Amino acid sequence: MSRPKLSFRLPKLGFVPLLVVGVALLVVSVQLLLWSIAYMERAMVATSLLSALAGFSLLSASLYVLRLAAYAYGVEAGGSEGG
Amino acid sequence: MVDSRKVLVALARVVPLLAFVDVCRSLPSLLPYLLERVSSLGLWYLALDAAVVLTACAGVAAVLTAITGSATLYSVALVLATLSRVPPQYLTSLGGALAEGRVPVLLPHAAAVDLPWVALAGFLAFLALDTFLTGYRYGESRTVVEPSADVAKALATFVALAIALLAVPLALSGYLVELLGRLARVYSGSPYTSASYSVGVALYVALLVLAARYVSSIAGVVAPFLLPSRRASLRFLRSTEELDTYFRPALAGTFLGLAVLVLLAPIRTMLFDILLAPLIRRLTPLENPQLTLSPTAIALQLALYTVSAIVAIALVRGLVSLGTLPTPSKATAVYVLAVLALIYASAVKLSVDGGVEMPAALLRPDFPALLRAVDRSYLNLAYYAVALVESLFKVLGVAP
Repeated sequence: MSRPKLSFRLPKLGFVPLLVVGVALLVVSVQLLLWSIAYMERAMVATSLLSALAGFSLLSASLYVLRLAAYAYGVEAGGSEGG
Repeated sequence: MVDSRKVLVALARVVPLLAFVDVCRSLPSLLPYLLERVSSLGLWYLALDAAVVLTACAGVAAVLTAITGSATLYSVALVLATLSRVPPQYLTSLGGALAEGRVPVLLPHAAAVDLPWVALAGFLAFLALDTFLTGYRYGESRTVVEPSADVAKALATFVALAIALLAVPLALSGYLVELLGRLARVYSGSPYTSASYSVGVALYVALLVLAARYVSSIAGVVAPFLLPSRRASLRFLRSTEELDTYFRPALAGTFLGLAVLVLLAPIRTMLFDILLAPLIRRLTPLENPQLTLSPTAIALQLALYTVSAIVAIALVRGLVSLGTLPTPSKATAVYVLAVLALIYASAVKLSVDGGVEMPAALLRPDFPALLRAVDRSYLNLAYYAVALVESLFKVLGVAP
């Protein structure tokens, strides 16, 4: 055992960071979608549609990250049985 | 001894009848009524009394589902029954708004339509029975042995999943109704009523397609969490096509279309109104070809716009790349130089038309006149687009 041992170890987080990022993106996208309704209320059509677009884009980003998290969870938790 | 599979099959056939019991019970009186009205008033009567017709169709689909046991027919019956529940006062207010030339609120408020909850719950039961029956055949084990705790867990998971998957589309459609209802209220003071109405319909369709895509991909997120499988997950994580996706903004195609639309008018003006104008004037002796609406003129405009659209699409595809990293190449340089050459040549042509001699015109291209022409071209394009879309929507019966 010639290698010096590191004084700290990274905690094993697994899929949790991905899940957190995905949920955070989801929350921001829902916030943007709600803002788009509020902008439309004040007759700011273009701002509202831009906000809706940003919201939908973030929603798709969050779904992608959540899918990654789901598969990372599958690798950790799943047995080798099943499809 | 009773074959339990026969019991289950019979149950699957009874479920649609039970779920649509009110619709099916009104069917024997509705069908002769409809036939009598159609025979006396003609087929146009069907368009006037949409709710009755939809109810009758939903009943027919429900009975056919009970006969055939097809899940597709059940979903058709479900959609028809939902549509038949749109309140009639909404339909009359829609008709009144159309008659007065106002912009109607696009959809009834989400709370105004009560969904056929019984039929929805029946659909879930029907699908569960359908799935169960595909794996449960004659001659195999007549009894299913499962610990009751597992059965309870599976049932709870099923109900929770069904509620979650129902809640997502309901939330998204509620959002769309809120957004577009407010858009209609904003536009109700504007003079361009039918144009804004078309915008609303187009926006609603685009957002609906987008929302449907999100709903189906949410199911793909939930499934691996419920049934974690190491093999499937590793297969996904190892495949580069699944993983290496560039970020693609929502409605990217729509934005490329808008870019084409922005380029369309100036390209058409520079090519056909300035550079090739003598040729076109010789081909078609029209006085003011921009604003006449005879069939020949419309056909000519359509042809010119089609050619310009092909040029504009080629330009956009060569210059704009959404979601991928731009790679500068010789083709990019050729496109940019071609656009610059087109602008320069049309400015020189305008300068020559303005009375400047030829060699001097090469040094004094008339850019202000070109700008004015391009300005006018946008107005002409808007005029044609609005006229075309409006007549299209009138033909389809969507707009007043």
